[in-house]
This record gives sequence, C-alpha cells and structure tokens, in this order.
Amino acid sequence: MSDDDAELLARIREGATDEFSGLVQRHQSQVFAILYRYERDRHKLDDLAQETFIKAWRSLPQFDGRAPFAHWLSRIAVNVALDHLRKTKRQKSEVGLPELGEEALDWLRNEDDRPELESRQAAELLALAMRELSAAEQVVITMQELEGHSIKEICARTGSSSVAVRVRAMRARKKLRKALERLAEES
Amino acid sequence: MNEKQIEELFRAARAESPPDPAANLELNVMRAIRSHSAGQEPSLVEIFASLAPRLAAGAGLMLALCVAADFCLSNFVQPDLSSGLNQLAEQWLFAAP
Repeated sequence: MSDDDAELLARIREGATDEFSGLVQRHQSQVFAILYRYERDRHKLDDLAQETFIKAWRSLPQFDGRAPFAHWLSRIAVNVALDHLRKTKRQKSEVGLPELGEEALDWLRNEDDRPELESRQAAELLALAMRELSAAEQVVITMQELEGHSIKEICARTGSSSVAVRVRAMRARKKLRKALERLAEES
Repeated sequence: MNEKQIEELFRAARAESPPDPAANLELNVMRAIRSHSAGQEPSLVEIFASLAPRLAAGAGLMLALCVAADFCLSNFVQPDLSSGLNQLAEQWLFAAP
C-alpha cells in the first residue's frame, strides 16, 4: 500500500470522514478504467463508480491493509460490475446490430480481408458479442484478454478457484466466437 | 471467424482508453456517504446505549426524591403511616370493653 493511502486511511479511521474524498480523487481513474470494460453508457458508468466508492467506504473497517488499497478497491469494482452485468443480463439478452458503427460492420462482413479496426469500434463490437456470455464469463474474459491479468490474479480478484476461472475462460471464448460468427451472418 | 481474428479484435479493443471520471464524482460520493451516515437507522443496542445515561440519571433522581420525601415525612409530619397503624392496633387491642 502506498504511504499516502496508508496516511489517509489512518486519518479516516481516526474520524476524519472528509479525507475519504482524497482516496476517491486518487483512485477514480482506476475504478473508471475497470468499470468501462463492462458498461459503456456514461451515466450508468458514473453511477457504478459512485456505488464502488460507497461500498468501499462501508467495507473500510474490514480492510486490513495486507494488500494494497488499489487491489482491494479493484476487487470491489469487479464485484459491482458483476452485479450490474447480472441485473442487465435479465433485461437485454439479445444481440442486435443497430448499435454498431459502419467500420465494425465492414470488419464483420469481410471474411478474408478484414480491415484494421479502430479501438472504439472493436470495443463496441466486443461488448455487443459479450452479451451472449454469462456475467461471470464476461468478467473472466475481460480480465484475461482486455486487462491482461493472469489466472492467479483473476482468482484473487474474483474469489473464484483456478479451475472455475479456466473453465469460464474457455467457455467464454467459445461463446464469443459463436456470437461474432452470428453477427457476421446477420450483418 | 478464427483465433487470429479474435485476437486482433481483443488487441484493438485493449487500446481503447476509458473516459475521464466525472468532475463531481468525488462530491457525489461524499454527499452519499454523509447522507448515509446521517440517515442510518440505529440498532436496539445503540438506542439503549444512547438512553442509558439518561435512564441512570432519572433513576438516581427518583431515589433521591424518595429518600428526601421519607426524611421529611418522618421528621416533620407526625404520625407517619407505620406509627399510625401501630397506634390504631394498640388502641384496638387494649381498649377497655
């Protein structure tokens, strides 16, 4: 844990509630980066970030300081994202094309010679295809492929076993490929 | 769709940078924390703990009042209830028929 975080946490524990705003300021970009992989709507993203920090505040007495505060916070952010995905999964389960840009549609249509895809378009296409996956599968594949975490790190941040993470990653890849193929057929 | 194409898609998506956090995020979080702390319903134990000093003071005051009342009645008002009863009983027992 960084010295600054430890200092702020010590002051918060002594009753200086307002010092928590310093932690929010310091870690908000990290929380946003995590949550943006799961929710692209700006308003919902703001709400999720706020929820993450409020949950962190409520759980602060349980934070023992053995792991860095940033790791602990990222675990809360992942759990918030997971809950959010489970809720939205019930509302929208069908993959639809109208939300995609022309560049992404071209990429899907051209089977052999696919053009280089811009990062935003690629992320939107992936987000759309990922709706076919379960919430837990989305989290695993996002952490592994987009955030570059190892299996061990994913286990630590999600609280799942190594076997469960590996199985989910394999299933997620399979489902993702199928979803992309279906999108390519529909485009 | 082959593995290479999926990898390409991942690589491109990885490069996307997230938007900047909302300018008022910190304020909103702190407002929510303060309102949560203020609006939190106290548990039964907390209610009892907060009332305990007042209950103790009330009980102490009551005791002091009782002692003072007994002292005043026994010293300045004659006869008190017990001696009055004794007197009545003696009068009835030893009263000439």
